[in-house]
Amino acid sequence: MSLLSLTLGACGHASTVPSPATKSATTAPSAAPPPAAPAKPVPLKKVSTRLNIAPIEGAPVASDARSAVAAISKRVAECWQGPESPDAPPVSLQLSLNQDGSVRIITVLDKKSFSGNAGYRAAATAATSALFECSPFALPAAGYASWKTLPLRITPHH
Amino acid sequence: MQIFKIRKYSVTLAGFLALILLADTAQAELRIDITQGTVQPMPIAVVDFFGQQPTDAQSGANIAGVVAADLERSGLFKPIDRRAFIQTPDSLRTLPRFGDWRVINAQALVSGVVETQSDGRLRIEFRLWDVFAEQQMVGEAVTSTPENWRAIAHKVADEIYKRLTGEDGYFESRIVYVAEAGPQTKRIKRLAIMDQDGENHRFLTDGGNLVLTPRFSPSTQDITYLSYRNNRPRVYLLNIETGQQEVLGDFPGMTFAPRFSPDGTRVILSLATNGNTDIYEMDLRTRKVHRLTNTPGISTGGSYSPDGSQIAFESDRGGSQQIYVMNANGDGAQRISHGEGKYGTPVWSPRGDFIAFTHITGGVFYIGVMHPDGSGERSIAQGYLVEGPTWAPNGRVLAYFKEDANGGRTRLYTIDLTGYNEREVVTPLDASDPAWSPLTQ
Repeated sequence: MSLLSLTLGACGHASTVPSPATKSATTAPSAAPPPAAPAKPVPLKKVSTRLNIAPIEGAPVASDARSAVAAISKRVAECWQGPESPDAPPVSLQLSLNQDGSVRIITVLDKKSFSGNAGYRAAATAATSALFECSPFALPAAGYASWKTLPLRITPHH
Repeated sequence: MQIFKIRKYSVTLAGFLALILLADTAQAELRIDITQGTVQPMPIAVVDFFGQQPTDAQSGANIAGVVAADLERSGLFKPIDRRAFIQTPDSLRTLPRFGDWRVINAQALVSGVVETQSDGRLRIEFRLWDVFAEQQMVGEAVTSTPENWRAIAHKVADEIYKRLTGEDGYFESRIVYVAEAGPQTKRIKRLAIMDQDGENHRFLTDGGNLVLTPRFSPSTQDITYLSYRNNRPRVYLLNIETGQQEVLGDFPGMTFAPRFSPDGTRVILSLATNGNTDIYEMDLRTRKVHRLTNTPGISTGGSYSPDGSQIAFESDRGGSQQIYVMNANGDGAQRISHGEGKYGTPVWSPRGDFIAFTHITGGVFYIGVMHPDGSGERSIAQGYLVEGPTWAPNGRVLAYFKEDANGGRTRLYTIDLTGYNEREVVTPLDASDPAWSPLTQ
């Protein structure tokens, strides 16, 4: 008689845990009134990572889409910088935009790497954050159909 | 000596292969009653799962370690020191020598086997034994990828917990929370997620912007959270497994992220308009928002009942901040809190039988519970600043965060519904705003 074995999905790996912070000051309780508009975002360490954004190689890209990607890349390079991350891998994301150039949804295309690799996850998280933070993007309304959905290759560099 | 025959193989809903053995003695069921407050923890022996190969033996020891730690942390079990064990994992593969276990006062015994298959997957088998009745209570086997061993250990612990308490377990679950570091003027907050025992910790955001109040969907792997990118409070929907992320909307003045409906298709949120804050519901498919409350003052912090028919929320419409319950369509709101001071952050238990909340009176913070009709109110935790309760999937345990007085640390704790067994959940940085996931599917 054979035994039936049913498989379970894989969980993500544990990421490296940073060393604990020393004693920190109190925080405001969340029952308090809304916080005052926060100061500019504070990077975690000395900043030195920028992102280069390009269409995914091999995917056919209309010229309107190509120039949209270039505009997005330029904008993100100006607006976002991340903490030093020398081993951060390139990531593939699909960016879906609203007509006003704001982000509708960002999809991680390489789900296997995302769930299996802590470095990939961290890089994808940073790239997602950069796209949200630097949007809305100034893109020509007439070409919306071609830049509505953009598969992107995002490569960190220093 | 009793002869055990393998009766049948059957596949349960949870995907386990059940090995059910006959027993021919009728005895009182080995059981812990967990509803009565102080419980004498049941002495249980969790033996390293046997593995022929050294790597399997190591996996077996690791799995047994996590199972024992889960059971011990619940406060209901007292794993016996393995140095006291007489019988070895190898000889347990045939049958326990129950006398060896009675003599060290074990009431329950857990044994198992780990075997790497030819395709590299692990086959893990475990058995739970009633030592006095000398019979097997549970026998199950499952295969999985080797990286998944912790999830298997938590599943095993859940099965044992359920069999011995009659209640669903909660060990195969996760907690998402806000990790905090730095001085108050430059506080860095990042979303983080971990297994309920603090393992498999990872960050979900990069700390560039303020993040608040993550909430777990009861039925999917999604969370909502609030973030102040570009200085605007915006609600994000993030899928933990796939990393897919989107904006639910810009909501000026919002201070809590929305909570999900039990089926995961809707969220409730509070929006400020014309100096008033009221509760709205958004359909996640259509993104249409409709209003549920319309009263002066601030109504916020909604939480659905597990059957989706009611919503608990906090409101100061009566002059002070109290807890109300209304129908899910917005009508029939009734106040259910009646004590001194202020009540807030109501959260409905997944079992439906209690609502947990934060209560502030006399300068002290409490975590309390009451029935949905307001009866049976009691405090289960207190401190200089404790708040933000969230329920474990079985509705028997709560997590919350606590800030020490005088600028001390902010940390996560769990506590049993009865108010006993408060435990810290150790995190790499300070921690606040926990949200407990459903059982991992």
